[in-house]
Amino acid sequence: MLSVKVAKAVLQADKLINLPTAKSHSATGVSLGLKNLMGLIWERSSLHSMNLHRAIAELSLVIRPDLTIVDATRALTSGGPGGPGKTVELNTVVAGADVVAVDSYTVGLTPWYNRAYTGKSVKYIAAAAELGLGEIDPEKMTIKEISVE
Amino acid sequence: MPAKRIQGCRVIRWPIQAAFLALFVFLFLRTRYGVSAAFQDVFFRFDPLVLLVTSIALRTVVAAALLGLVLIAGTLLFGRFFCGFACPLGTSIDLFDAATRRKAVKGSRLRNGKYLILIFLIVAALVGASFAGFFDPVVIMGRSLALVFFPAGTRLVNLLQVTKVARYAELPIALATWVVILALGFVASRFWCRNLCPLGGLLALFAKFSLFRFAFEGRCRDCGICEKVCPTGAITAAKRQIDSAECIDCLACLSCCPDRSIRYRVRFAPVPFDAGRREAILALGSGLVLAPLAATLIRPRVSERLIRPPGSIPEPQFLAACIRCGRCLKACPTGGLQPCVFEAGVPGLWTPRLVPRAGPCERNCTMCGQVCPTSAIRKLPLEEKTFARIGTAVIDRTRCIAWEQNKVCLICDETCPYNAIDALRETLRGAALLRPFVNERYCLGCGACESRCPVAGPAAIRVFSAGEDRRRAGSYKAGGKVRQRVCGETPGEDVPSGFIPE
Repeated sequence: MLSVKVAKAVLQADKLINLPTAKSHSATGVSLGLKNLMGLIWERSSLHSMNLHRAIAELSLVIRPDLTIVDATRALTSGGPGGPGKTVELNTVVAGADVVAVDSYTVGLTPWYNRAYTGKSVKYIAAAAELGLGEIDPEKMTIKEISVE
Repeated sequence: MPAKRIQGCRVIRWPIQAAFLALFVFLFLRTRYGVSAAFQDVFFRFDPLVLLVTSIALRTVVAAALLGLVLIAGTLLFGRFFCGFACPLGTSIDLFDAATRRKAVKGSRLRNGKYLILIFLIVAALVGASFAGFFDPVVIMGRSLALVFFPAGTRLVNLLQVTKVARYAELPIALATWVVILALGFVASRFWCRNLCPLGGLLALFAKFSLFRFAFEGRCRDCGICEKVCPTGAITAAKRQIDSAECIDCLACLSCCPDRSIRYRVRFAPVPFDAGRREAILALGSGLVLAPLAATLIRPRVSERLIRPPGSIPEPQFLAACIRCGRCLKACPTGGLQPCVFEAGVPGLWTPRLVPRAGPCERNCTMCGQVCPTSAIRKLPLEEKTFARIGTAVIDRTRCIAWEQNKVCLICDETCPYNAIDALRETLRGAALLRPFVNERYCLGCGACESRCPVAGPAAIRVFSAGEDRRRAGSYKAGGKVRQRVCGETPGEDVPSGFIPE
């Protein structure tokens, strides 16, 4: 059985705030809130020898962020996660307590790889919703849009 | 012997020796990423043995070491003060000798050994092989710091979990070299310095004619104390003779003489060499035979996995220029540069190679070239370094889990700093997934892919030396074997399989 090392700060903290950037990803399609949590375990390369999309979803069964804030001011919509690629200026920040909802909503904000997708089309987000970790359908979410000058 | 008088020379010399050793260690510790490389190699720049042997072997004057001529000039004036005051290995030997209270032994025929080794080095250099790094005291001390004491130190300090532990592929031989040199002190004090050190031998040739020297003046009660305290056996008290070629200016005789009859004065009185003409010819002759023989028998080896640092000059010249000082190993921020053991053959011992599994070549770093004292690794600006290809990555599709097991993995693509991996869709055994391809137009061989590949054991993507670009001079960017992906240019990738197809 595989055991992994988790960052101490995560285990000791009262609250966990997850702050990813909005970017595409050559393996998972997009890399947003759920995918960001991979950085908190040491042996994250081990996820690649499993079903990666499923493993990312299951990770948040254990490490649950209390607040997810996606920096989508400039989304890297191709060539990610490192770039170079096509950047779209969205000038948007997406925040929420439900990481699945935040991820799913962010996917719908812009085309990725020059095509429009929804949260349901991203395998790891779909897997997370299947596990009951959050809401994937934007129709069922409570969304507040606030303009900031 | 009068204890009070010995204090006299200790008060002057030991603080100066300590200061030079501390400076040597300090400069070594400062040899790292993020600290400007200027003046850190000052000990090596003043080393005339490095200048002489490396210049002959390379057939070019090593401009960086021209200050060695200054040391020669200083020796012509003042004698072997370098040996007595500044040499870091000499100071270590003195510390060891003091701790074990070695008795000074009168000079013997063995002291010609340092000239024999010097001749050997010069003749070997004439046939293009440089062994200076194996016998130069400054290099030996620096390498011992790099391969033995620094890693041990970081391991100790890491008990407090405050630093990264340094690990290098070779330690036993480097440690054994240093230990043996010091252990020779059990035979006689400063054994290495008087009998073996080729730098000492080189300086001795000039010190023989030095302007200032220690000499007898005035009354002498024939007590023989001076001869007993001399650590290199330079004094023959019965003949009132001090051989300035053997003398390391340690001041022991001056401060121990009860009559104060030894002085440091301008006096031209070179002591003749303790060898006949026949012996000199024999020495030269055997050097001429042995050195080329050694160079032929101990042949360098080039393997497809021998990856040299970016900016390394072509291999035969590289082996001649590299003095195996270990500074590039110390300066490499990822720990990717490792000393060869026998990957480059016996002559390649301690020369640097990139081991991606130990650490990749950091894209934005040029430290190895900056710290190399002989420019075996050229000093390249970042603009040039990012075009200096050191090898090419090759994917073993039987080991890569994206190819062999239909898994979703593109870590090599994610981590490549030069965007040299294309992620393209291939349908294999019914699964349409993105698989990695190495694009040879862009790959520099930095090893980031190999260092991050999640496959256990040898990585599924490995760097080989094929395609390396090594130039003695000239631009890598303009000469161009490699191109770079421009930001905005279409990256090589298909739509990821992370999306569920409509």
